[in-house]
Amino acid sequence: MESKRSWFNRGALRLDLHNSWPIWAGYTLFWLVAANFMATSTYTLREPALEMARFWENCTGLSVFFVTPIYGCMVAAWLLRGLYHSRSALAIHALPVQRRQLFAAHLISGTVFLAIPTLVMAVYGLVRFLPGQSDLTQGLVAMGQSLGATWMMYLWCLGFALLCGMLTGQLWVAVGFFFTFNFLAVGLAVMVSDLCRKFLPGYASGGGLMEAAGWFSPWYNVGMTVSHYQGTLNGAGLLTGYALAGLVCMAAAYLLYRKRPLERAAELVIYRPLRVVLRWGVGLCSALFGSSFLQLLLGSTSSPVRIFVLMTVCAWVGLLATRMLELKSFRVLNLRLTGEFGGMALVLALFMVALNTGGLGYVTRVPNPDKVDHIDLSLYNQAYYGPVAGSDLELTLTDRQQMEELIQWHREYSQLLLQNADYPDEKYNGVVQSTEAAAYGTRSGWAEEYHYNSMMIRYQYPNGGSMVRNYTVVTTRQGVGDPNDPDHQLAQVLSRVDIPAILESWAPYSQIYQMQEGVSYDAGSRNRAFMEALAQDLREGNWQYSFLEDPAFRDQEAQITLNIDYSLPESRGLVQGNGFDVILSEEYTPRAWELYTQYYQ
Amino acid sequence: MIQVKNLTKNFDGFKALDHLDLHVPKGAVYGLVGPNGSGKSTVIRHILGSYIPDSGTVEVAGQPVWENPAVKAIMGNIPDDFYFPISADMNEMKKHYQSFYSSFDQERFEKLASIFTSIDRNKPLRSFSKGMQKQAAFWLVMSCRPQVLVLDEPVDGLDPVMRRQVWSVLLSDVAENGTTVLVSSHNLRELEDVCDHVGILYKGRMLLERSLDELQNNIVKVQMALAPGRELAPLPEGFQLLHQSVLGRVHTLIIRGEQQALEAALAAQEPVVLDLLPLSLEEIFIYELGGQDDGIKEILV
Repeated sequence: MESKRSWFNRGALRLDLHNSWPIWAGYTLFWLVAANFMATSTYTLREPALEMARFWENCTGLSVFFVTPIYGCMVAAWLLRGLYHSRSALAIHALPVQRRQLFAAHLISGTVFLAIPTLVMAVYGLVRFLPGQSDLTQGLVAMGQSLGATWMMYLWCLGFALLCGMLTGQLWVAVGFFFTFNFLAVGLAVMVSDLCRKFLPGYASGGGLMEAAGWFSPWYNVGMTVSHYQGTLNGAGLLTGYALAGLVCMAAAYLLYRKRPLERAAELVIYRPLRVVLRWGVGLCSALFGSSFLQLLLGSTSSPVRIFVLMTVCAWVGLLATRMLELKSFRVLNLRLTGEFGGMALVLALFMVALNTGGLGYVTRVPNPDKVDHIDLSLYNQAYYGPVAGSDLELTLTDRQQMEELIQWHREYSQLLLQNADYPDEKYNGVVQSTEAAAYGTRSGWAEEYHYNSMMIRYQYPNGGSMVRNYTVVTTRQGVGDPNDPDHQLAQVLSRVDIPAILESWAPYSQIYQMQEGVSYDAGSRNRAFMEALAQDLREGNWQYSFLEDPAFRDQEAQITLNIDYSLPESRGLVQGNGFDVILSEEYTPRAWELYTQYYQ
Repeated sequence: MIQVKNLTKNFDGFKALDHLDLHVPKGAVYGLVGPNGSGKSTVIRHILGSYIPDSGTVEVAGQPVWENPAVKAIMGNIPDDFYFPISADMNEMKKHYQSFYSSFDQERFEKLASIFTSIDRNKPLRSFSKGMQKQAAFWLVMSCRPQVLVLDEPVDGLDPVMRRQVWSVLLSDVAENGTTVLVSSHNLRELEDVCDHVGILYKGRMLLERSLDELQNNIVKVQMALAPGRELAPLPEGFQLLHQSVLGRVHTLIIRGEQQALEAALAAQEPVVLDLLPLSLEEIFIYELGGQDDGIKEILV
């Protein structure tokens, strides 16, 4: 087995396995205790015939989201422990063994460390649940799924932790890298989105940025995606992807190991080019996280200069701290670091200037009508009180003329936003104060001043791509009927939308289901009948559409809001809330109320 | 047996080894000496195959050492600070070494036990003193019957009796098996007793590398007194004056050059007294470096 080209070395494997029993024995013990607890929990006992399946489904959650990532990191740290001290690193590498053999021994040991607990758990599961299982197949399938998910997560975590371990010369830094990099991308994406939202009117997080951030935040992503319930393991593809990525990480770790300079044991970063990456990475992360934290402490007004100053100071602290850790000294200030300080300040200044001047065309970017397949509009009224409170609307525009009108409005609106960067903020702040006053003061407060709405426009392209913008559209009493007011213009555009036709094109069940909030009911035939009746009413003109510009404001006519989400029957009166907490009442929406009572009561 | 050619190593811009050449003949006991920070440990770590050279080659028994288990298998190594895994005792270490070294000699291991009697085989080695750990290291390494031994401060921490015993075992191995030994130490008096070759390292370069006999013949301490009114004449070509001091009429000179020719040249000045004395390795080290190192120059003054 041990030829000249062999990857196997008996001595190296022996060295890895020697005294390693506390690692896997502790892990096994934990699982046996946890499993025993889960097995006797009331939840599993509710379905005695499927106890085994439910047991393994419970195990999956605990394993994949919590225990396996920690264990994978621990195993990697244990296997690489010899690399972090000069004495041990030199001693091990002076032995007659190649690095590839040492690395292969790490991988074999890592596999053994999970294989033993897995085996013990499988035996435990069988012995515990086998008697009395009427549906053994389901139990065995669940066991296979659970153990498979654990192994896939383990492969990812072990591989990634080995890679992190290869980048640094300190054990705790390796562990720190593992935990940080598993969540960093999504944290950064949230921070950047938060900043963009402050300075880029219409900015929509999500889409590509958040999706990529999710993929690069594996532990977080798995936690959000994977579930094991009633025989179905959701997110198996994702786990497989990460398992493969784990194998790639192992290969990368090996390539790094081949050239690892042992003289740098105990250094913060082993490979010199990565030092700059780490310094700047920590600096930029400090800028984003630190400035957000300080803004919270100091009270946040979105002054770009203030944010720039906070970001720069935090970035410098991050740079300085990293340099100190690199050199293990407090005396690190020199010409080079001063230059890096200047460079960092310049980068942040450019970033803030770019944000403050429309994000390199982001604010005013509106697609040409001929490039758009259709437009999805989601409008949410967020007023607490009043006849339009909580009225939400989701539309899909396919009519070319309607789309052109909306795009034209969007162009003008975005230009206005760019010219007056304070436009949404100023109004928004006013609205918040006003609505709060209304909520805690007189009920008529809503009608005197403002109400505000959030709007999402999604341009869907024929190739499947999309462009999304989110706006806070503030409707003022003064602006109603003013042809120069952009909100009024939007209302005009929307008023021309053929609502009944759109309503008919909806899939009623899914729409109702999507728009309900925290209320669960069957999307059964009564819903369909209700929607059809509603559509019929709209076709016959029994109702008038009013969303942003409510006729009730002007002439006291009866008005209807498209409250497609119907609340629980108890919610008859005015209920304080926002968003989807829709008011359906006899007083304000008599026709809808009539329909509702007809079909639901 | 050990050939290092043009070896260069930088540590973050600091040149630890600068085009270093080193040659250890088979069966030689080679003393590697040099001031602190001269690069001795760095060379040794290259020879052991732990460090990757920036440039140059390191060969043992005609083969490169880096990632070559076949070569490493004939080498034994005792660093200044030997590494024992957590909780490993002597029996466990023996098993580790047996699994790495096919040449591990169980019989010899048991035979050496009679020398290292103070080591409890069942106690964790990390709980031992530095001297005891060094004994354990010797016991293990010598049991592997290495053809090449690389030692860094090998007897540092050992008591005088154990020092003598360790050197005795080591030298008998050299005599019986032709083992090649490269030893780095600051204890030059001890090295002088055991080495037959010496290399002096200074700032990552090999200052000189010779057999000890050759070295001692090449540098000589001269004490001569001249007749009243006579001045010391300049040395002829081919001799290098490393150090000179005068006390009354007595001149003390450290001169590099061929001893017999030097004696003849000095005799030509008709001194009243002329003595040529051999230098110890320590003196050679100090006078050789005296020309390089300002700190040592001051000591000599």
